[in-house]
Amino acid sequence: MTPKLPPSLRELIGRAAAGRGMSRAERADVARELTAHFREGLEAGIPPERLAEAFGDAAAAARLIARARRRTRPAALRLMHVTLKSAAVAAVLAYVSSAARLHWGEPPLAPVAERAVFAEILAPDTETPRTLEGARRAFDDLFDRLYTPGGGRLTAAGLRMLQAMKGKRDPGFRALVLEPVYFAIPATRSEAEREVAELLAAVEREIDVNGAAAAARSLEASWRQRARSTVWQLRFYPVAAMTPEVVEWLAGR
Amino acid sequence: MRIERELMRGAGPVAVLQILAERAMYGYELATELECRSRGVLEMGHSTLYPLLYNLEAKGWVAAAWREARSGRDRKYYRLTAKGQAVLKEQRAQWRAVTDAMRRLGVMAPEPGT
Repeated sequence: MTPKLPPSLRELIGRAAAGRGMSRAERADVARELTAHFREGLEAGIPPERLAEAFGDAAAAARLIARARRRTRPAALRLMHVTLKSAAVAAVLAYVSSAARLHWGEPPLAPVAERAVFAEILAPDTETPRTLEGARRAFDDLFDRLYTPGGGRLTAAGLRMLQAMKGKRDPGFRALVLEPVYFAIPATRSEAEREVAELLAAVEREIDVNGAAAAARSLEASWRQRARSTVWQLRFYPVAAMTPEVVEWLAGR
Repeated sequence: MRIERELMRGAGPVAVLQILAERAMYGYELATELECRSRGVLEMGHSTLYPLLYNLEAKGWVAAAWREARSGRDRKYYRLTAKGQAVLKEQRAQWRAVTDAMRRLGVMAPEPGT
């Protein structure tokens, strides 16, 4: 009859087979072998304490066993493990660096969570003609509240303001955690300025020839085309989020 | 007598290979055999024996397979491979050279009849 292992030996097996980096199957195989080992000992009449003593330090065994078992894996499997581990480390580092970039530094102008800021610059009063210069000024002011001076990095504080302008206050925990992923490669301020310049230049002639409403339609079409790309929307989030405001304003809605 | 760790690190694998050269054995049997035949000198903590066996397996010097014994017990048997045999042959020669040198130096007593 197979002797049942006492809890002390079962616990020792559990610890010795719990080395880091071993697969479930490898752990099960080690546990199976050590169980067989201790059963042999018990059947030979050796008390559990003597068996545990002869076994030695379970924590050290776990380290040595895990290291040795990893070596018995086929080369392809070891390569896959190393690749996956490196990829995971790289992903964590990228996340931490993205989060640090996003949360470090402040824009030169204090972010204000007011949609009106953008709208007021676009149209200070009803008499102001709707020109693209107004749109450029509005984007400029907005960028001062989103990007850091010098390097022109998008900041978390700036993002909060943009989100507030879109009516989203107090982002949830999930949004905060995912933010560094979404905005891992945001465009710099100068890149965003170039994007605005391109968008507006495309409708410059339209506004002179066919008027503001036609220019609004043209701008909307350009924006829609660009916004099909999720990468563009994330990289140029402030431009993607605020261009519809300019379209509305140009259209006189 | 306790053998120093460094010395055991060199002697342990050769001793295991030598015992497995005679026949395939499972872990507990191997540990007992090692202890008895070396009169306790090469006794190693069983927690050291299993990693040693896994390392030998990783090097392709021994191969392991689960088998059911006549008693119905599940046992993992280790046997020497052809590669292991070649390594053992080489290591035996090295140990012979070392012990000869130790004798000549007077570290070990000369073999009886020499």
